[in-house]
Amino acid sequence: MISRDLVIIGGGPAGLAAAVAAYDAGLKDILLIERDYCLGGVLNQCIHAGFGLHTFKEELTGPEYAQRYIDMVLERGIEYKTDCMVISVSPEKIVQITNKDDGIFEVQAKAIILAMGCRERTRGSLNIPGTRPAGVFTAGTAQRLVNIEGYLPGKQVVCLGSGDIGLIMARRMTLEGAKVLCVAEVQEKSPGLKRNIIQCLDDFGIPLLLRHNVINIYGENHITGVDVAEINENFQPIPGTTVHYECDCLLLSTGLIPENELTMGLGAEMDPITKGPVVDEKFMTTVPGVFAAGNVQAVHGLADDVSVHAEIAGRAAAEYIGGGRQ
Amino acid sequence: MKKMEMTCIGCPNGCDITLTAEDGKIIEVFGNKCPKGIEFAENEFFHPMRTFTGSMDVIGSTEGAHTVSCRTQKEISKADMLAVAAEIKKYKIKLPVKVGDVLIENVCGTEVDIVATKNVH
Ligand SMILES: Cc1cc2nc3c(=O)[nH]c(=O)nc-3n(C[C@H](O)[C@H](O)[C@H](O)COP(=O)(O)OP(=O)(O)OC[C@H]3O[C@@H](n4cnc5c(N)ncnc54)[C@H](O)[C@@H]3O)c2cc1C
Ligand code: SF4
Repeated sequence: MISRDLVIIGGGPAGLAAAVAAYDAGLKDILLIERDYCLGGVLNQCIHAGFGLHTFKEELTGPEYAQRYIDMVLERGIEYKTDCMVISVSPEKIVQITNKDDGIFEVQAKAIILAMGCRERTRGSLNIPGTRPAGVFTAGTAQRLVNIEGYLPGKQVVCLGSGDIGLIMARRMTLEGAKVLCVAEVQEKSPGLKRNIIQCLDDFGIPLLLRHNVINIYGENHITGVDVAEINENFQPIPGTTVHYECDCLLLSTGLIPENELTMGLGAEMDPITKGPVVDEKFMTTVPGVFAAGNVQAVHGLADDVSVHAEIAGRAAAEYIGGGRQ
Repeated sequence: MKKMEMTCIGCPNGCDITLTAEDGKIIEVFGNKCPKGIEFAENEFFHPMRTFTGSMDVIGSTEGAHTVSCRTQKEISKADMLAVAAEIKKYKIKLPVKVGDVLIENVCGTEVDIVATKNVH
């Protein structure tokens, strides 16, 4: 079996920053594993500006921010594997990996940093009545389709939820030539940043309907429309407020959940509030030598904060192995 | 006297800024937590500016990429956003490109270049 001092799972900003910090703290025998074909994580699809104001004192786009860390990893010659998916992690710190060429192989680690990020809540966890046609996407899936695949998933769009990814996608699809009819938000206040409401909705005259919900979805094979209604304090639709929108795309931007199947398989104690593992001040989970950094630990609003926390975890992992500064 | 209320988009703080002007001259700007807010308010009053970001189609990728992400190197007039978005769709970018490479010079006569924000090969 291959062995490494430190195995980092996930090549997003958390994994990258943890790798660099562990290396700079004296740990050289590191393996970073990423399931996608390139490093950078979800930042590759976050092509808008708004990253790095803290870390680099300038406003970068997601890919530019990621590239700075990718360059740091490359400069240090830290070993990484892309197109490799981790399928399990054991308390004995054996990491099971699969890829196209090698099938399944295992790596024995002395310490592990979990940096698998988060994923979006889907319609399944939302409970909207109506048919189940094509054309309903999470905002993040649409973001990937538009920005990475170069494919516009709809021309007439309604967005449910005004989280930042939804706001960013409302602008993005408008710039790509789609008409965003409205953004419906069940809360009284948008969870998105004010700057995003201004530059993504107001700039393009897209209405934000607070205390509104999508109460029905129409369409046999492909979505043809939705009903949007005002809701009361108990989130029940108020009769007589329903408006029908003809649309060929419904975006859902209703929150992120940490990606923790591996963590749970490992037996680490989970925090019911963050939905990530319980960690100490150095981001070590309840399994000694296993750390968690970035959105896998708790959903972070800003990538800059992810980097800071991941650096703490990286240094702590180096310390744990005894590879601290010589 | 003209009063204009706005939210600064310079950073996640989103300061509420009030600008007062008379005869087309700015008299006072307040509410900003840093100097960037003053520049933002002045621009919003005379000539709103935004950074454009988007993606462009590529050809000949060895890693299977379909697009390269891009931005305007500096802010452009807010009024030009949709025109720039339409313009960049007319191009197919030959690879490889690196972060910062100019993809279109002086896009739509804005005197600002479109640059790549990702290394793609
Ligand atoms: C769709 C979406 C859009 C977002 N937009 C913004 C934004 O605009 N601005 C902002 O500040 N934040 C945004 N965020 C939050 C953003 O995720 C964080 O700021 C930051 O990218 C989190 O970094 P991370 O490294 O923890 O996670 P990620 O960037 O998600 O990286 C996790 C990496 O782990 C890999 N991975 C997961 N499981 C495995 C496995 N089993 N084996 C191997 N590799 C694995 C994934 O492929 C991924 O590359 C967004 C999040 C999402 C989901
Ligand atoms: S004024 Fe300064 S601190 Fe306030 S939002 Fe603008 S840039 Fe941020």
